[in-house]
Amino acid sequence: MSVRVDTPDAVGLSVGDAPSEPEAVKARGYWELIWIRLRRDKIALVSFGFIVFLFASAFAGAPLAAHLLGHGPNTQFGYGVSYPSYVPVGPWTYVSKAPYYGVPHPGRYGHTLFIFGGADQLGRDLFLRILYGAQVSLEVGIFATVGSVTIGVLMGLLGGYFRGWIDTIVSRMIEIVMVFPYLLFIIALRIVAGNALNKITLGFLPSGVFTLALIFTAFGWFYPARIMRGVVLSLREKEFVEAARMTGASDWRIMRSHLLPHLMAPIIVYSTILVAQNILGEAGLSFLGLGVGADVPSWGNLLQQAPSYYQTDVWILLFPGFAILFTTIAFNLLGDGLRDAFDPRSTI
Amino acid sequence: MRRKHVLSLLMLSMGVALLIAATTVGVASSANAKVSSAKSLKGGVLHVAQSAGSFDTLDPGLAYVTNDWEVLYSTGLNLVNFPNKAGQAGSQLFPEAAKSFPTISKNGTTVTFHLRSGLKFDDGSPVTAASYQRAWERILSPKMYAQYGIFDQLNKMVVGAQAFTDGKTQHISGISAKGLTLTFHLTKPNPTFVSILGMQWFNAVKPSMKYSKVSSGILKYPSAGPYYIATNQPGRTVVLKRNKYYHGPRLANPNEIVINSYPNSNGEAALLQIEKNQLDFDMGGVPADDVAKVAKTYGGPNKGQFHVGGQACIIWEAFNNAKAPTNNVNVRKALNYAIGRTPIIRLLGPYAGSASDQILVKGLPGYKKFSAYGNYPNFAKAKAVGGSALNGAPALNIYYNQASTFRTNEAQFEKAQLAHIGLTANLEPSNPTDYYGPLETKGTDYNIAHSGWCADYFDPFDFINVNFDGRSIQPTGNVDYFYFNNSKFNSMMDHAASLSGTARANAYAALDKTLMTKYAPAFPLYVPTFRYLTAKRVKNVIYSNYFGYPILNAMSVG
Repeated sequence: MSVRVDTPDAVGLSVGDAPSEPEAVKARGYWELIWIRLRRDKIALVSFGFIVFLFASAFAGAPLAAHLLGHGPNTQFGYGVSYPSYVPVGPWTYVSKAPYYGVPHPGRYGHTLFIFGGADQLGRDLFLRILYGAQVSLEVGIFATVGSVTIGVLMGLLGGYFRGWIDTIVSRMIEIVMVFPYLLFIIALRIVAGNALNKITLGFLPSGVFTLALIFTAFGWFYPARIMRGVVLSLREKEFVEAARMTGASDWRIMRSHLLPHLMAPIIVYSTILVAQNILGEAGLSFLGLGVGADVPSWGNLLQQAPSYYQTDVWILLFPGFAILFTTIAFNLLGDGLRDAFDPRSTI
Repeated sequence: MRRKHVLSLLMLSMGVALLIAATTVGVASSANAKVSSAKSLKGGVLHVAQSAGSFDTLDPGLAYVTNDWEVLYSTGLNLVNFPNKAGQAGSQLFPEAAKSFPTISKNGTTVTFHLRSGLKFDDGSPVTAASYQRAWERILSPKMYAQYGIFDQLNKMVVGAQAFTDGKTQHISGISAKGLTLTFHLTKPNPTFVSILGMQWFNAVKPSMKYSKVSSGILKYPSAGPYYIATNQPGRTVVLKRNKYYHGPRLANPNEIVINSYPNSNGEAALLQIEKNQLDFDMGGVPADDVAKVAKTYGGPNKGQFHVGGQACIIWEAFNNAKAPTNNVNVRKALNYAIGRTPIIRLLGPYAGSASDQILVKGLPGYKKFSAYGNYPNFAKAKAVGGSALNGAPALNIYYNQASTFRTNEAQFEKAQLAHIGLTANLEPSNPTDYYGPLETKGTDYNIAHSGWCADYFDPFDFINVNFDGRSIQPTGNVDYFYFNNSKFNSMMDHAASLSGTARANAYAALDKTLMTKYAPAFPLYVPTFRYLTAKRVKNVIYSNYFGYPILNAMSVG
């Protein structure tokens, strides 16, 4: 039987021991308890490790690989497609660096290696595109999640804490966003302002990432808002809030210093799940041609071209497919592990 | 906790299994139900798809795109028309609604047609000379969404047409319709006039057919050809039904022709359906990425279900001559050197066509083969020609149809080629249901746009004057996607159009060369073919070189 650490039984004494020198009992903090619970969840830890690896691969590994290979993810090699089959070359293939197929003496341009994944239909290195695609997926996932959760927490706090007409407005806004046909909206937005929005890169984002993050934020904040509102409605009646109010704390201070820390657990748990949802959303919309720019390497864009080659170059489908699958599962499993870790009723 | 781990592993396994399954499945097994073949050519429903596109309009007074005309050919009845024959014979006009070719006055300016009696629209009303008079009025009237006839200078061809085009008269004074006799009074003798009447603009329409100010025009109207439009849902479905009153020589094999448009599809789904005999034909053809595989599967072109047909077309990238940096001739010439034709054609797969860097195509009077820029990229030459115009040039907007895999790849390829000469580009995908709308509108911000031109009639005027006479540029409804307007070249075109015979042919040959070597308003890319697959049950596939499509009304699924 395990013993709850926050009970007096947990002092480590066994019956019959001589009470010689009383050991100093070190109280375990809130975050320490969470870490103890989390580290026992091997699946969550593996998932976390995978996510760290993914970040490292995307933001450090991709440029490093491009540097070592001597070409970028958008470099097109005429000899990356084999003729007369018109099929992209497969993994571990040396191809001429000649700028186009049919150039006289292509060997004089030297060769490059497609290590893993082969080429796509424009003769680009699929391995590099998958690595750089991870950047796009993570950027969309993280930015949209930060946006959604920030708005959601703010709205949930305001509605749950103040109640009354503010809560009514927040609740109705949540309901409107919930029922809004956002896919149709995206299609319409894409037609009306897509090209203009895609030019917004903030100086460092690929074309279309900002647009997607904006859309996912606009239509993703309602669920965290509902969760936070429910939690705050409960918390605002607790004694510690009453005590704070009696000491003259302002509403803003109560929300910031007393309520917000209690929301950290649901925020962290929901954020991990939302990242996975947004990555899937990016892939789905890019697959439909509504996502990032056509030349931006993203997993959705890579999948979009896969149907043409699913019988001949199956890796074009499998590699980005596996990348999306493992990434979303990793975020979901980490979220699941964090949920358990944050649960005070969980045993350690 | 252990149960959760098992579930996680199970979930992961299912995901992997589903992904692998996705690579192995084709279409549902129910797709194998084959339609039984019959000996008769008549009967049945011909199921047609239109991937990566839809009809701009099926109003003959506004239609000016090849796929629109493909349908109008099945519904329209012209004074002179193209027969349901393959090869060169299919490009020879025959008198259809007319009893014979017209009588022409000695001075060549009065052209008289006598119509056959007993011709009827699908509603049973008679076809008379007034039906063709109305067709002329609808292609030139200011009460229409666009006056496309102006691009072919029809307003200058017939007496009184300019006044009518300007809205000064109710009718074109030079067209006289009395019963079954139709007389045109031309401003000057015109050797191509009868050929022009083969265009689908001149389908017989009821004299009461209204004008339309919307781009989709009138959706349904009585027609006198082998079929009539029974259903027309723009962007979705068109159903043609057999016109029981048509007794002409053209075929009317299927009872119905059902055409479903899928503007967002790249054609993969339609291809699978055709292979499983769920669909008969895709007007979008075989997707570029699949041609090699399809050709191999069906034993090469024109040996069974896989067909390749020639087209009297030139596919080009239209440079917007009114927008920087493509308003600079040196930039346009540099692009002609840098992009490269053959590598783009390779993106289309095998049997796609042949590279060309001129406007006229083989078979047209005045066609003389030349090569001004070559078929492979030449970055050194491009930089030399572009010179200082390339330095600090604003980013080019490459406009493309994202529903088409080829056009998406082409746009990406071009962007990469531009980078070799120091130019940057934005990829601007179109609204899939309205690709041409922005091109037809003056002031749109594209620099490079994929388009092309197919022969309306076999005369160089149709390729040169129609596309490059900047005096015809209007706020909307343009066919001059280049927005090229050069007064000197306009004069040269006027002169060439006034000539006849060998002198005319030589003048147009010179114009073709001058246009590309001196002004380079476009990037001519290739003379295309149409590569398509028909379902196993489809018989009597007759390919029209003129339309660049198989003739729908001739296909048999009976």
